[in-house]
Amino acid sequence: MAVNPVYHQTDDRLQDEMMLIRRAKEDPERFGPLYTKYHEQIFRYIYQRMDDEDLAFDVTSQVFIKAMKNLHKYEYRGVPFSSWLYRIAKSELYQAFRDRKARKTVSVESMHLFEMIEEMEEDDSSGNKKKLFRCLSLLKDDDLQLIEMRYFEKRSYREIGEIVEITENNAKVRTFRALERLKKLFMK
Amino acid sequence: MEKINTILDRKPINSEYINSKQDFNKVKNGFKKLKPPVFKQTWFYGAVGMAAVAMVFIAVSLTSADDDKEMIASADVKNETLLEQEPPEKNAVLAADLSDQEEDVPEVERVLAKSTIEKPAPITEKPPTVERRVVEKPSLIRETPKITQPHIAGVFGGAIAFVDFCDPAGIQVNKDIAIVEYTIHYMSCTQDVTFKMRGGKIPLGVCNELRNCGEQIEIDFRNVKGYNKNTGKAVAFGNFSLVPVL
Repeated sequence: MAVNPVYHQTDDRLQDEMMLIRRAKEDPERFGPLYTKYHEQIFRYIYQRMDDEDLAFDVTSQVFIKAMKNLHKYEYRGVPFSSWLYRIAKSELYQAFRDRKARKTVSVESMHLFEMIEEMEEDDSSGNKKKLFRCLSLLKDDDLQLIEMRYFEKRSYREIGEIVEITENNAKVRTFRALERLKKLFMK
Repeated sequence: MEKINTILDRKPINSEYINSKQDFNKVKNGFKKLKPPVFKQTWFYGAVGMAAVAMVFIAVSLTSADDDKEMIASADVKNETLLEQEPPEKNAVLAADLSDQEEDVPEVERVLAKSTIEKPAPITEKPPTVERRVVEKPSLIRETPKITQPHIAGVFGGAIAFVDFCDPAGIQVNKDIAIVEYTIHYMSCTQDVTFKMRGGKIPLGVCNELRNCGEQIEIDFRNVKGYNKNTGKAVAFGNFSLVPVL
């Protein structure tokens, strides 16, 4: 399965990014380049899980405000800056759900459903697609999150691990188990 | 279980539209609103802490400076005591020195000197400055004005000629110190006299009374107090005694 190439960066690019972060730590006014670089990624992550576009833009802004506020706490641990932003985004997203500002949403494309049915070795019928679509909404939050990141957003296990704060292998195992649970629901 | 909204094939949003919605100024304003108040910021505690430490340091320095001045004053008293206890051999040496110098001295002064030999010799030497003995904090001592013992017409203790004793200048220390008050005590021909005087002058009445008595009476000067004209600080001096002689 092809994975999202945006996340993975070369050492040189990571070093350039570290320079931007250092400057932003010294002067918050210089956070602009990081904001420009990651705004779209973070917005798409939030909008994928939300049904309201305007609210998704607001939550995205909130993520960057929190990032600026806590930038002095950020430490480079060999992973891209975006994984830190995703963690803030996840937290802000749940805050928005708690405040009842937004509804939890799973945004799925037909192509993704087709790929998943293939993975489950089932027939690619419209009936199966509808069934799978229904089963997704029955999954637990943690399982749904892993399925979304792996099959709908095409993230690598390494990236999933860094966002969820688990190891790459653990991300692989948990995603496999989440898929097994989805299969069980599908077979019922 | 919380109901999850599922959307199939939602209309995708293109990158240009998302980028057009970027507003860093909004983020900056939001960040400024999130900033904690001044009293919650680290630099504030640092500044307040430094100021507090500086105040404590200044207070401690001032206190120790006062203590040093007191030490100097008390050291003067000790020095005076030492001078009073000079062995008689030294007085003899002083007298010998005076007799050596007789040839150059006018007649009146020669008479005074001769009479002085029989009495405790006047100690006109300037006592050693105290700084050397109490130097513990050089920077503080350096600021302290040079203080010597009180004297009358250069006589710090012992015999003194009436002419000098009744000098209008009275008790002196050095030009930086003004005498504020002192207590005088002596046994006159008839009674024991003790009274407090303002300023450093010797009352004319005392001079006349002592002269009329005709005896050698020891005069004690106690509680001699003054102030430094430059710094305005009060200074206390040790007691000293003089014996006016005709």
